[in-house]
Amino acid sequence: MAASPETAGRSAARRLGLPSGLLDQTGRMFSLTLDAFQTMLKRPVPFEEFVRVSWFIASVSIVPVILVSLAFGMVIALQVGNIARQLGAYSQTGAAMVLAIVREAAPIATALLIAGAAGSAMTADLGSRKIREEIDAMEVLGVDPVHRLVVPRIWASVFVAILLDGFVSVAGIAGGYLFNVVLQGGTAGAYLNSFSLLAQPWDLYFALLKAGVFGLVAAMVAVHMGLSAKGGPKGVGDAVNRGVVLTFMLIFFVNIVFTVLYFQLIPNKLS
Amino acid sequence: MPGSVSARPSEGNGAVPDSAISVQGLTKSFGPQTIFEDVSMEIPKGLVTIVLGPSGTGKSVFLKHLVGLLRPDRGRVLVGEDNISILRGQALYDVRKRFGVLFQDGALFGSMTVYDNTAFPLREHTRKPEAEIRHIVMEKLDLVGLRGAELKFPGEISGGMRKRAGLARALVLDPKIILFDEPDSGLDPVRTAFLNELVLDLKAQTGATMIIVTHHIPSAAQIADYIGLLFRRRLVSFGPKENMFTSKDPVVKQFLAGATDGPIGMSEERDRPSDADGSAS
Repeated sequence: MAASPETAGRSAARRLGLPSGLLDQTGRMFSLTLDAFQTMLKRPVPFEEFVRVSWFIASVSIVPVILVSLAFGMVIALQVGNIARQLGAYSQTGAAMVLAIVREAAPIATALLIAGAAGSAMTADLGSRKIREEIDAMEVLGVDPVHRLVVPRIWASVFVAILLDGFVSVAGIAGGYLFNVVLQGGTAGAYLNSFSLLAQPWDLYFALLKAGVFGLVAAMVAVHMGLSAKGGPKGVGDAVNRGVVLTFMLIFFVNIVFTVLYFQLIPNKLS
Repeated sequence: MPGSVSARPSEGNGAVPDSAISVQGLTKSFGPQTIFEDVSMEIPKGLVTIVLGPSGTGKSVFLKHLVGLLRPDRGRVLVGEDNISILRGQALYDVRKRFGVLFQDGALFGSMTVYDNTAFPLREHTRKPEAEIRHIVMEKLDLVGLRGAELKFPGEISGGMRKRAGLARALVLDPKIILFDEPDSGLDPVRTAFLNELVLDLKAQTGATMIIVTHHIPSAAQIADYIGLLFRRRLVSFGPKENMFTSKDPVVKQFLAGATDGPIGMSEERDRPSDADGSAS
């Protein structure tokens, strides 16, 4: 019989000088995601679970994400306003604001909240089911846990991330408005008018795509960590911890890739 | 060696029973730790087989191989004609429908009531109307003495009740093969006796093959037809109950008598492989 994926991953990692276990963890996570994509359309589609998980993700992340993005919007407004004032372009603050919020701040804030609030809960939930042998029981009862549990979680996370991103963009821009216009005495008309100076629809499309991919990453890591939890309640805690840290790192890395791609693919509005 | 591990052991009258599950050369390691080395046994159809072993010999791991939750590094497990060790996807799930498994802590779904847990396999795999499902579920809950607790959640009932609810769920599809992972741990002596009686009733009524892993010798003495003893990665002995209880093998004798004097030590470190080879030959 061929070597198990575990040993294959270990020896490959050794050859590449990587810590042992890193490659097989990555491999397992991607193979789980691949399994999920394969069973995605299998009937019956677990729609109920999808709705339940979507609602759960939205309910735990919506309030914190709005608060975070309001605050974030204000800070950006302060920073950008300050720089713009020195350059004599105070009326253009809105233009820079909207780009910063829509392109970067909103997708990242969404992803961090989904990973931190919803992803950690997902890992803890699946992890405790795993150590209580519920997952094994499901397999033995002839129900595929990937189809029943993983697929709806991945869909829900992507779906809610995209919706939340729109929400967060509005909240962030509102935060900027509050700071720039109400508190710093800028002109409302100039703030709103300058939005369309630099921003273009592609900024929004790209941001929504980015949010969706971040949602996917958060769910992939969360379900993988949950389903590979072992060693009792402490193992579940460890899985949650590793999951959140790994998601954050992955999201920032993926963000770099997206930003580079964006500047390569989408021409600037003023060129 | 009495009841040689790979040969089909014969019953007293010389008839060789058909096997429901055939384990062939099962070898499994987790990382550097070898759990099984070349374990083979033919589990007889329609009889109660009890697999004994000191704590930590991988009895639960053994059960998980029988239902394909774990795959062996070498060797194979045949369920009827199907090699469950290499099946995947739908084919694997189809073979598993022949099994009912009682997990150590019941493994109930925490988000469902006892009733819904028991009804789960019926709702998943049959198109029976709710009324008929209700009838079957209540009948099985009655069987395990849980009528009246059907609307409770697993978190609200005792460990023993969870275990019995898990048994009701395992039985609900009338499986041909039933696996029990330490059914008597956490049950009081009276409930254990009832459970043993239930196992014998099931055997008589349904002719199901039952495989029980435990280290509870009185249960083994009472209900087993066949007994296997796992020790130090190997199946030390396997055969009809009578042969086992009269065995001269020092490991078998010590374990069945619960004696401190013999090859089985207190700690796993003392169970050195060289000793095992010495005692098993």
